[in-house]
Amino acid sequence: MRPVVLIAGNFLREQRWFVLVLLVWVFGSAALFGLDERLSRDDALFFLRQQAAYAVALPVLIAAGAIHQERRSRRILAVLSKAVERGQYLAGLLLGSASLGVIAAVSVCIAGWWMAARVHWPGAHLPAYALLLMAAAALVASLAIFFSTFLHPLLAASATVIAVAAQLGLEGASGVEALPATALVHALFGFQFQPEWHAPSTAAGLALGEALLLWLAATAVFERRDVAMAAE
Amino acid sequence: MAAVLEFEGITKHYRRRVGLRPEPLVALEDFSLAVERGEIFGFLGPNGAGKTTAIHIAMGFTRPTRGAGRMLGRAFGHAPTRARVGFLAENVALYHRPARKLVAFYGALNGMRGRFLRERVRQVLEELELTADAGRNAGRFSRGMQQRVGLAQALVNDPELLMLDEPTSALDPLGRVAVRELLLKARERGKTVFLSSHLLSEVELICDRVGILHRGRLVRVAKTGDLLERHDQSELAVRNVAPAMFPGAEARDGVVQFTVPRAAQRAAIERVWAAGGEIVAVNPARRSLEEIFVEMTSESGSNQ
Repeated sequence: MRPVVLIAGNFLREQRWFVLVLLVWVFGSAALFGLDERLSRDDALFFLRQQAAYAVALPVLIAAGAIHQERRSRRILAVLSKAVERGQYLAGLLLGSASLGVIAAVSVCIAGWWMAARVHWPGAHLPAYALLLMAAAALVASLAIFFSTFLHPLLAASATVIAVAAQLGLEGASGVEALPATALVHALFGFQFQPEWHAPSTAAGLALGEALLLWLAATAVFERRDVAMAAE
Repeated sequence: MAAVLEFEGITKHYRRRVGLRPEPLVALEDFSLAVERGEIFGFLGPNGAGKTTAIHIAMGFTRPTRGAGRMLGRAFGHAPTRARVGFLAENVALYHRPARKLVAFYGALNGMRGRFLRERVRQVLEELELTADAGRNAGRFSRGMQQRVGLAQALVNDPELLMLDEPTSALDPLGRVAVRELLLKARERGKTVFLSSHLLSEVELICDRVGILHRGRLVRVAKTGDLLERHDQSELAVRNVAPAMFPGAEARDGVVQFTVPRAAQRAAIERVWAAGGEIVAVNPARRSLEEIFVEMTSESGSNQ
């Protein structure tokens, strides 16, 4: 477990400027919207949903390019020359990417809480909303990591979007409940600051389970790949 | 003596894209080699010979098309075994972190921790003369300094086997001497060094054995001394004779040196004595590693 945490921490550290820009963006735009005297409930909801979309998209972008970037810079060689299994390496990248999603989710919900308070809406559901965002971030990051083990980053990111869209397209089909994307998308983007809103905890659990399966599949593929970028 | 690194009939084919069509590129062909414990093995070959590919296969970065191998008694790619190995890549690429923290990070990936890790990091940084810069961002170091940090991360776990791909290519002469001494010290402590290098003079100085790779095939493996000595020729150093007496003789500081076939050695000595000269030394003639390398890797040499 220790190599996974070390690799994740290192990965997150490498993305520190990205994290800083993200925080400035979330809190900056919250301030811009929230300090406006004409702020309405619709504006607050729009802000939260928009930022949630970014919080889910961010891990896809970062995770899809992670392996390619490490291979191209050849930094992967020094890491995998240590007592690190390929699966641990991928788990580190996945944890790092998902952690970015966690940072985004927490900051979005803090900003959302403040804006909800400005329009006199209860923010009691926002911690549960943040947890859903984190589960969604873990799911899409694992999809992106899986695809990036055999695809170019651009194609891996596109494949991730298509995979999520395909799940949404299957809505209503029998057995599709096992795929959590639809429930998560509905919950995240249909969110209202209402007391009767319920977080789909089963879908969140399924998302984490699916992320685990995708990590196993990614490991199986990655173990067969040459990690050195090019022949002499 | 036990082999710590064994390549057994390894073949590696890559696919190189030429236009729209992928073409096979042979990096290694039926490559077999055993490196014994406690030796410094020099791995030579021109660019594109397959040296880096062989090292990458041993480290588990690349899978062979055919064949197998063992490192410290375990199949290539066995992750826990790599905790006993130090590796330095040809082109060092470092994360943007202070050198001390970076070396500690790599040590921690090998399961090191606490005071032991801190002490080892301090030691290797000191050995590589990086102590003064240990707090600076290693990603912004010059190439030479990055190579030293690369060596530090390879040495931090006090490895039994060091796999070094061009470890001194970016170093200045003083840095090269320091690394050479470091490798000799490692050998004294029973460590094994697998050294890929283009610096033939360096290889000649420190390697116990040398292997020459050409177009993916091992064309020669021998003890460095055996490789350099010409057993059919003797080199004589004499005094008080005219250089003109022997074809090709050179005089330096009053000593005349020349080479004769081993069979003519006795006759040459008698001629020196007959001329009133004095024999200073008689040794097997030596060639430079560069001469041998060129001979082995030239078209005609490699076809022999």
